[in-house]
Amino acid sequence: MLSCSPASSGGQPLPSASPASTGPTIPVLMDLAAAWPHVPLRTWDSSGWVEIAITQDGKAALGEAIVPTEPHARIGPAIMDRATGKVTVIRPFSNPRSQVVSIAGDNNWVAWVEGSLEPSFADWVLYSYDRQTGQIRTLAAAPKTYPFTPFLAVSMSDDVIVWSAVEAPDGIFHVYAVNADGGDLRILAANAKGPQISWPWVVYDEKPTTAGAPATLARQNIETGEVRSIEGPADASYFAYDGEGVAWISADSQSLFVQSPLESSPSLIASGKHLQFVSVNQRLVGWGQDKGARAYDRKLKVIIQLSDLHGFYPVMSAQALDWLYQPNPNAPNPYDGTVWREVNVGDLP
Amino acid sequence: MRKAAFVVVGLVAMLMMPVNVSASKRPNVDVPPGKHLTARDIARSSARHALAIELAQWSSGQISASTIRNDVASFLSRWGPTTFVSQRFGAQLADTPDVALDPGPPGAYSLSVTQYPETNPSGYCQPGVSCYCGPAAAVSVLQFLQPTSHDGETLVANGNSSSGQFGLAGNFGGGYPWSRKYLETNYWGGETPWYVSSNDLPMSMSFNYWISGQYTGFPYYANYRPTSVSDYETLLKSDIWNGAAPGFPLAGDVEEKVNSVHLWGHPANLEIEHWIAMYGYAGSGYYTNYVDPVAGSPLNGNYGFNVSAYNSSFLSSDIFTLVTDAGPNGGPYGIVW
Repeated sequence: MLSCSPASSGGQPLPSASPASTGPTIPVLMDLAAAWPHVPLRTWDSSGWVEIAITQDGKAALGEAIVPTEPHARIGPAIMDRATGKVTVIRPFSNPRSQVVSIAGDNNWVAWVEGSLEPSFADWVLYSYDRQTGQIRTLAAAPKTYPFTPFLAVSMSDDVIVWSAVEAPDGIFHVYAVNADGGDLRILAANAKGPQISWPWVVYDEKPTTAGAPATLARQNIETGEVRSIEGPADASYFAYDGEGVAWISADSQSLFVQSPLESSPSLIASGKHLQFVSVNQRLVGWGQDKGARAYDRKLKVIIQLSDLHGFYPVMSAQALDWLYQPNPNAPNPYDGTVWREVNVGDLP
Repeated sequence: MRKAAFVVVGLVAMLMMPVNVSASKRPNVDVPPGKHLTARDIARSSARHALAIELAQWSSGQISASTIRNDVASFLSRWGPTTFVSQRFGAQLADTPDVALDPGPPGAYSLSVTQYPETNPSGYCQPGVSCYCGPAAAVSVLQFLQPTSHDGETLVANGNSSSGQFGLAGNFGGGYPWSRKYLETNYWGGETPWYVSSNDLPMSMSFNYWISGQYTGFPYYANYRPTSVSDYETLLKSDIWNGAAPGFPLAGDVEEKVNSVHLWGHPANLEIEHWIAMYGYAGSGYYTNYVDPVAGSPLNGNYGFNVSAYNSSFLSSDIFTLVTDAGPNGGPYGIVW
């Protein structure tokens, strides 16, 4: 139940020791030019574009079009051709306070969540857009009488969209799935949230069954209904799933692990302050932290500094990696004049 | 979350924008008559700012101990004690006229401020919206400074700040739960305004009234939009340190723009307006420590927001950006110091 039952979270934490390492060595940190010296880099002006996701094939970036001039009023959900930089607005927002909360898609469909009541976006509506016909469908929405879900993220694979939401006063999170054409809306799991799908498996965060026990991850085969627990991750603050393994950040936001395949032991690949918003594919792990946006190259086994913008994190799909970047090292405001940088995974050494 | 309006009080000319009053059915509750800013209040705020700059100059050896000593004495004589200018500090300076003072503030200093998760009472926030970031940040500041108000109200019971947040939002005072005695959050539909009018600056005036029973009384908190990063750092350090006595936490009204800086654990693709409380600094002001009311609230931990209650190592230059930026929904706002 999303009730108002706050309590003090106690006093300030005492300085803590570094998290225990489960691996022998943290990979070295390299700059991009040294790690990937001949990789083609494309850049696009960020003034009219907010990138949130990329299609798995890397052809299209998905996000929000904004007016290029201050104060950057929002235009609507949009698709950017990563080869040309051309931005196509799916449709303009009808409410000027609406934002694209999350978005996912492929060559056939784009699914996105709109909301206007920041910061919770509890008035969320989930839409799909048929890229072939241009048809837009409303797939789901927060209950009208009293919306309960704080923030809603979507994941999509093989034309199936998954998300988690609270839709009743019981406060229980359920994991939902629906086909992109609006068919076969179903509940996959109760007391679970944050689903990510890589067909046919959906990975989600399960609420502890007993008080004091950690939250764990589980995966469900969306075709057969088979459910398997994932040993290793506990109380993850963020996780990402690429169909083979998971990357996750510890509850204290100080350690980043990769566990691929799922049955293997976790490997510590990074530690630091304020690790957040992890993403993963077969080649890379991306995240943000106090030192900026970083990616771990799973083949070269090095960490690459993508951007010095504090807290920013890359956007990633199976075949693409994009991030916000400040090209002027002497910029008075490092967030003015930024560009989106792009690389294709297929171009990596 | 809050009104798209702003004010600068103190050194800079008053800038005013109309309040975005969108609700058609506001309760008929008047602003308390004491909420009134005079020219003297503005002059005091300006003098306090100038003294904070002098303090920073003394700390870095740019002015002598005798200069700061004389100017603190003059300030106390004319204005009396305020947030970081106390009789104790003045006496400390006066007692050691021939001794080289240990220049403060030190490189790092933090106050034992407690974080409280923002609540979302359904009758006063829009349904499902966690809207009490302002009251939660205010509870963090006031619970540290003085747990019981001048009028005898309290904020925290058994570690729970729900009643305190609700009280500051509108349940304390006449016309409750729409009272405009403190933050006016309920009155404004769940938004804690940075600015209502040139006479009504809810956050800073609430801090002052809570402590002294006067909206423009001790400790003379004021709304202010910093003009530079160093300006912000100067005010942060002077209030937090307070001459090595228990200092004064600050509040910050931030505007998180897309493609720009966000607080730790806030999704960068979203525009968010938010209140935080600053409780410390490090690196001689290069970093700010703050509490974030999202932590522990229903908003947190849903693979969008993942926020810690206590946040350190946040660049003060980024705080400056957050309190001076404007987005399509609001800003620029500022700090309450």
